[in-house]
Amino acid sequence: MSVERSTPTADAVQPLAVCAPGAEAVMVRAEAGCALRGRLAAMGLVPGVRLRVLRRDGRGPVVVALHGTRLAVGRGVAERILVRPATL
Amino acid sequence: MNDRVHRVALAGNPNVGKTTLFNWLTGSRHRVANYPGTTVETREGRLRSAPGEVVIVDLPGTYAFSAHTDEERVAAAALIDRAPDLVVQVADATNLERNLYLTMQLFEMGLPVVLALNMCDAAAAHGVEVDCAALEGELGVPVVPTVGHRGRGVAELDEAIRAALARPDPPRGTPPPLDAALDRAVTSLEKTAVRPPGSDGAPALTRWRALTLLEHGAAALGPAACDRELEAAVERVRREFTAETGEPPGARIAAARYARVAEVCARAVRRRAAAPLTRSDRIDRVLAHPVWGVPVFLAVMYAMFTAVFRLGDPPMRWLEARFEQAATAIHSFWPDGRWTWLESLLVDGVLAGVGGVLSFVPNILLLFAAIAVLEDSGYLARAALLSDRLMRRIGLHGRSFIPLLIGFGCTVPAILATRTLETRRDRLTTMLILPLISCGARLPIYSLLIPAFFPAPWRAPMLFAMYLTGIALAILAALVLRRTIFRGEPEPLLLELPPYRRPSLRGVLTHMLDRGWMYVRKAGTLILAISIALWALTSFPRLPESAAAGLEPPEARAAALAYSAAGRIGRTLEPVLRPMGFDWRIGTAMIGAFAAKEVFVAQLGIVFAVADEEDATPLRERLQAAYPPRTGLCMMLFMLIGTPCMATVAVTRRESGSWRWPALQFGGLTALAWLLTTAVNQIALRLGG
Repeated sequence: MSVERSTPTADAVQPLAVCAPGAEAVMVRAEAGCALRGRLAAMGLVPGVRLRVLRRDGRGPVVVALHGTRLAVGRGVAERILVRPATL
Repeated sequence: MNDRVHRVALAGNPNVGKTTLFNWLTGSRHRVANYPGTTVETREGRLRSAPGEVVIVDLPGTYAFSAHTDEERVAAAALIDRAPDLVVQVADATNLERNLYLTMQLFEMGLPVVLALNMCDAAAAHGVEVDCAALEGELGVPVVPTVGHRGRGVAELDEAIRAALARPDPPRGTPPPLDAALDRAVTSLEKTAVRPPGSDGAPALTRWRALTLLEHGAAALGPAACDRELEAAVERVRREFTAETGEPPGARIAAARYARVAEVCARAVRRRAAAPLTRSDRIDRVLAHPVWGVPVFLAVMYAMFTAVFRLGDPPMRWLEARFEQAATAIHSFWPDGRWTWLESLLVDGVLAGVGGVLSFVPNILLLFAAIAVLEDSGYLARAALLSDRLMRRIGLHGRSFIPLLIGFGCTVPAILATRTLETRRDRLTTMLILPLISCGARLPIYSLLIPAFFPAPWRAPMLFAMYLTGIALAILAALVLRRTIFRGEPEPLLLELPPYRRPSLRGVLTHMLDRGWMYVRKAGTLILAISIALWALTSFPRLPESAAAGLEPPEARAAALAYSAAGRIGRTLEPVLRPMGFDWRIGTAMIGAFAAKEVFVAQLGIVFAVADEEDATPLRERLQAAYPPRTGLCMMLFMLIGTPCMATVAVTRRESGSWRWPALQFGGLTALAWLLTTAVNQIALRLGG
C-alpha cells in the first residue's frame, strides 16, 4: 500500500480501488457503460456522493459506507469509479 | 371507498423490511405467485382491516425499475402493465437518499404513492432525524413512520392506505424536474416513438416509457416490445443528446433524480456530522475479513449442510416407513391374484411416486429455513462477498456457492436454492452444472461398485476421485457455458451489506412453508407423473404366466423386467452402450435409475436376479463375474455425469420456466457422459485393463 497514492493532494482524481481504508472521498464519475452506470446510480453511487472506504483487501472487493449503507464493490468496478478526496 | 376491489402494490429497496410490513398489513394469509417465465415471486394478501376491498401485492425488492434483473422486470411490469390503485413504498429511514431515488421513479410513473418510513428507531440510533411533516410537504404524498419489526405505525399506515384510496384523486408526487435538453429529448421520443398512432395510454405512463427508453436504450423494453424502427429512433435521440451535452442521457437522468432527492433531504433530514462506526461494522471487521472471515464462513456452511441433511434424515425415514406400511396394508387387503396390475399401479406407481415427491420435503424445508435465517440476519451477503473471489474465477457469482454446496446433499433442493442468484444467466449456469456435483444418491452406487471391482487400498482414493471428477467437470462446464451460450461480461460485484439483524421466527417459517408448498404444487405433480410413467415402462408388457411358471421369485422378477418396455429399450440401446462396455442389463438398470440415482443399485439387483436385497455381497459377486473392473469404473463415471434424475429434470423445468433448459441439461450431460465413458473404456481396453 503506497502512502503517496492513498493520501493524494487536494483535488487529485483517482480510482476508488486505490483509496486506503478510512479515507473519505467524493465520487467524480464512473467510467462505465450505460447499464453498469444505471446500477451504480440505483445503489447510490452517483457523481457528487460522499463515501468512506471501510475495507480494501488486496485484490478483493472494496467496502464503502455511503448514506448509512454499506456496499461491497468488486475490484473491477472500483477501478472504474473515480473519486477525489473529501474536504472537511 | 367504492365497492371495486383495490390493488395496492408494496414496493421498495431490498432489505428495508417490506415483507414484515406486508405480514402486519395482511395477517398471515397470503398466496405466492410466480411470475411467468421467472423464479421471481410476488405475494398477494388482503388488507386485514378491509379484506373485501383491498388486495396488497408484495413486489420483489429492487433498487430501480430498469429491467436489469428479473426482479426489476417483474416489479416494473406489475406497476406499469397492471397499474395499481396505490403504491406503498417502504423506505429505510437510515438510508433515505437511495430509497427516495426509487420514489422519484414512482413519481415519474405518475402513480399515487404512500411512503412508509420504516426503521425510524434505527435511524434515530444512527443519528439520523427525519422530519416527517417536512418530508410530506416536500414530496406531496402521505408519509407514515413505522417500525416494522415491532408493528409500530402499522395501524396508521393501514389508515393512510384506506384514506388515499377513498380520495377520488389520490396524491401523486411531482416527478423531478428535467433540464431543457432532457425535456426536449423525452418529449421528442414521446412524440415519435412511444405513442403508436391510434393508441391512447395514460400520458404519464408514456412519458415514463420515453424516459426509460432515453435512460437505458431500446433494450429496456425487452425483446418483445422492440421493433427496428423504435430502436433506431431511440438510438438517434440518445446519440444526439450525448453529442449535444457531452454526457450520456442515463447519467443526466440519474443526476436529476438525485438533485431533487438532495433538495428534499436538505429540508427534511438532519444528520449528526460524522456517522459513527456501527455494531455491524465492528462485526464485519471479523466476519467480512478475507482471512478471519473464512473459518466462520466454513463453519456456517458446514452447520447449514449438516442441519439440512442430518436433521432432514429422521423425518425422511419416518415418511418412508409410513409409505412402506401403506404398501403392506394395500398388499394384505388385496384379493389374491386379482387385478394385480392395479395393485402394482397403486403400490409401485402412485404410492412410490408420492413417497418420492415427499421424501424431498424435509430437506427443502430445512434448506429454506437455513437460507431465510442467513438472509434475514444479513450474513448471506457476507457469505457471497467471501466466496465471490473463488466463484468469479469460474465465471459464477459468489451466491452460487450455497447451491453448489447443497448439491453434495441433493441436486433438487440445490436447484431450488439458485433463487438467491440475481441474474438469469447466473441462475441457469448454476442449474445446468449442478448435476455434476456428486449428490447423496450417487454414494450407494459408488459403495456398491468400488468394493466389487477394486482392491481395498484403492477404494478410498477411488471414492475421492469420483467426487473430484464431478467438481472438475462442473468447473469446466461452467467455463464452457460462459464462453458459449451465456457469453458476456461477468456480472460485476455490487452488493449491499445490510446491517446484522435478528431474524424473526415468523419470517423464517413463512419463507420455509411458502417454498415447501411451492415445490409440492409445482414440481411435485411433474415428478409424480414421471414416476408413474417409469413404473409403466418397467412393468409393461407383462411377462406371460406360462413364461414365469417354475421360476424362483428372483428369476421371475428378472425375467419380467427383461420382458418389460425398459428391458426392451435396454436391448435396443445396446449398440450405443457397447462402446462404453455396457450391455442391456446395465442399460435397463439405467432406465430405472431415472427415477432416482440410487435406484440403479436396486435395478441391478433385479436384473441379476439377486434374492437378498439387504446384502450387497451376492450382487457384487455377480457383477464381478459379469464385468471387468474397467466396466465398474465406467458405470460410476456414467452415473456421475449422465442422465440426471427425473426430479432434477422436473425442478429445472419449473425453475427455468421452459423445457429447453432441462432438455439441454439432460442431453448435454448424457452426451458428455457417453463421450467420456467411451474414451475411458476404450483407453482401458487398449491398455489391457
